[in-house]
Amino acid sequence: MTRVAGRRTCERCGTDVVPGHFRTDTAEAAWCDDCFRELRVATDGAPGSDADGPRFRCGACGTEHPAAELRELAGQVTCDACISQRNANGQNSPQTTPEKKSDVSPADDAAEEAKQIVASLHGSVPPNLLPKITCPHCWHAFEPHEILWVAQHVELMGDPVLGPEAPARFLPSRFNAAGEALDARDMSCQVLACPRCHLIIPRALIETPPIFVSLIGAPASGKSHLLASMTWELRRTLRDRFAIVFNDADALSNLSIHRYEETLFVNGEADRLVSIRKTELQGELYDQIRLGQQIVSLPRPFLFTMRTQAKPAASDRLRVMCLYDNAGEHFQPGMDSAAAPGTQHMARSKALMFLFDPTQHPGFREHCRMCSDDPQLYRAARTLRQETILTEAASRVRRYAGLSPQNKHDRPLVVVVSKADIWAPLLEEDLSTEPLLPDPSQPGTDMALVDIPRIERTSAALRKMLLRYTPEIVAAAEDFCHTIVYIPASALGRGPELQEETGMLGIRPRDIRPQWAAAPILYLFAKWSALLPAAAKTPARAAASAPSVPSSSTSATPKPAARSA
Amino acid sequence: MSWELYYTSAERGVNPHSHGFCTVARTETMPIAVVERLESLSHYSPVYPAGSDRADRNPVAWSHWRIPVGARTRSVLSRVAFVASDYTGRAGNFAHHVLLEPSEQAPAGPVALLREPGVMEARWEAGPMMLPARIIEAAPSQDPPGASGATWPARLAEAFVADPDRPAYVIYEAGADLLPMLGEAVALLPTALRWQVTFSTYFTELPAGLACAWRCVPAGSPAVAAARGAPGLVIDLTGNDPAPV
Repeated sequence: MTRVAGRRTCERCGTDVVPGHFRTDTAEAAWCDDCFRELRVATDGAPGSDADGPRFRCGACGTEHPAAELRELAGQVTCDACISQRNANGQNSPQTTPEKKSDVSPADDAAEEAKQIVASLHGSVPPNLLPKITCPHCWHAFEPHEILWVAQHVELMGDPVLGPEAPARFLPSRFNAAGEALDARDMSCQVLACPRCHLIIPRALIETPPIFVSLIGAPASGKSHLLASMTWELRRTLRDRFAIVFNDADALSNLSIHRYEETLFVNGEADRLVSIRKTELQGELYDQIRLGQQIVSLPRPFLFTMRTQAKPAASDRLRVMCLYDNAGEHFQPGMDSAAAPGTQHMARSKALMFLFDPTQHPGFREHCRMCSDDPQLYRAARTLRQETILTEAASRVRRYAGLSPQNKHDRPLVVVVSKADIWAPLLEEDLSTEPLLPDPSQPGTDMALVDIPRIERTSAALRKMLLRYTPEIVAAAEDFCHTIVYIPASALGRGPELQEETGMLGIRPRDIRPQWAAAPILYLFAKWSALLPAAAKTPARAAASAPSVPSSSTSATPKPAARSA
Repeated sequence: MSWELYYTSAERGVNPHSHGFCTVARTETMPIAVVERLESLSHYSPVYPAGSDRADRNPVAWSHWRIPVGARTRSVLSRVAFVASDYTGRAGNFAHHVLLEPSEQAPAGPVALLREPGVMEARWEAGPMMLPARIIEAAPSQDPPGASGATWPARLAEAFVADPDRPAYVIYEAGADLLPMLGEAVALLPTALRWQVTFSTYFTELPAGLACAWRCVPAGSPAVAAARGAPGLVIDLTGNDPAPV
């Protein structure tokens, strides 16, 4: 096959790019336009702004800069100093607003006209429109004016990226008075889509950047069960104890997690053995798109909004959290490909959660058998080296984020040690109550603080235990990230039962009592954001008076059977 | 010589380090791009969950796809079915795909080959392994047109001849075996069209870049709503169809 002269492979996404559609960094690595644009918009320590990330030469003076410090000027990337110099010489940059009418360019005319049109609309442009929107499906960052709309008319079917049976996506040129785009058959449209993958962008994301949280773990480590328990507990705990509404940003996108929750917590047959089926590498948890000749499978995001009830109108009180339920197989070495880039969200994540399953560790498993008769410990040996999953995740994050092998990742890593109901006796920490304390500033209410000291004390004890039984996990985690916290969790609160006739492991919904399932998220938001209040130190009498919330739904929430009724 | 691939949730796959959902056996000479494409066709969404009394009524997805391989389009016969319990005790699925050479495409059509004993497997008991390419023998047609007395296979065939690009839906009760009826419909097509028709006896969603002309949708599955609103032929075998079947 003839290769087009000058064609290169993008350093980040691996796609082939032709001359004119990539930038070369100082190490001569090529970056496609999309990835370069993402590098430029990356902020707050994310890929691109990192001092160890790739550097590019200013097209005017040749000095080296991170991508985020460069701007496009006359088709080439230019540093701020050169732009300032150019402006001082009387050549206005495209961003500079001309003062005299005679200097107004056609582009400025159009912008002014657009402003007047917007001002005359009955509907309003979102007041907090983000300058860059990040797609939760393909992680492409783009400007709001690039966003596509989804045609509503039934005849407007067929899309080059999503296939012949998807409604057409289009860049609108006509709007109605409410600010809704009109499709080619004059139907008003409301649904927005990413300009790259053409998948639907929930409206909340054009005003609030998503907080990506990645859940990493080996196959059968309990990721789906933990996600279901975590979101179920967050819905309840955030509402009742923090006056925060935890809701679906896109109910359609969250359909799978609804099914998980319904299976475990809202099941009409609370006495029947149920289980969440094994997460697949294709199907309902993924969207298949066509990028050029390549079929690409993207994981479907679970999107949640968190809005404080106290100040519902305050836009700065809205957060959008984005979670993914990757199959454990995605994290195996060699499973990251251009056709299945399903784990690239890890490089965008504000925090990583690694789920360690002690029942799959040969040594730990032996110790667990001394204190539990859980059937997972006695089935045919099913063990694997889970540190390889973490090591592979680390190398992918380094690769996607352009992080030097010399440096550790600057995002927090939560090592969630799952199935704590089995091994909790080894830890000698009480997990029967959630790590919450009454909020002293709101006496007489149920409002709570996240008990950070207790979580960190438990983390220290858990780290010590892991060092004894599985030091390789601690070593892999501490080689990867600066900040690590170890949190125990049990998604179900007890072990499954074996259904003899099918060999299936299942649990009866009435028996489910999650323990610390929401603790990782509560800790992250209390420790690293202002969204949740945190207790700076545990009150001296806290343990004695046992003010913490009981784990699971034992008292604060009706039992699943009652709830389903 | 045909290529084949077996995919399920297993403790070990043919690739190093692979376990969980993975390819457990495949033809050694199969290109990686084809492997990835066939793996992407191995999804199964059960109508009835594991543990349900009706889990054994989950339909088998018998399919004929046409996929691009290099510059050519090749026929793939697939059988994907529900598995109540995998090596971890969780529900999964088992998929077997056979990619045919044109010379192996029996004149009777894809259903005849799917029903031919020994062509499609329902399980893989051996450990992970690479397989030699094999030759699929052509089979005679098993379903003379109209053998069952039902008229809807003829409507399917007519619809395909009239507009091969417009999909037709068949809504049925889970547990029914539609494959023989699809065989009748294929037998009604001109020989030249029999390997052009694509179908699935359990259609959930259209894989990217592929076509599916006959889409059989069990009652209770999410695709039923889309089927009922489809602009083309919709045959409802559950008794909710106002038109005679």
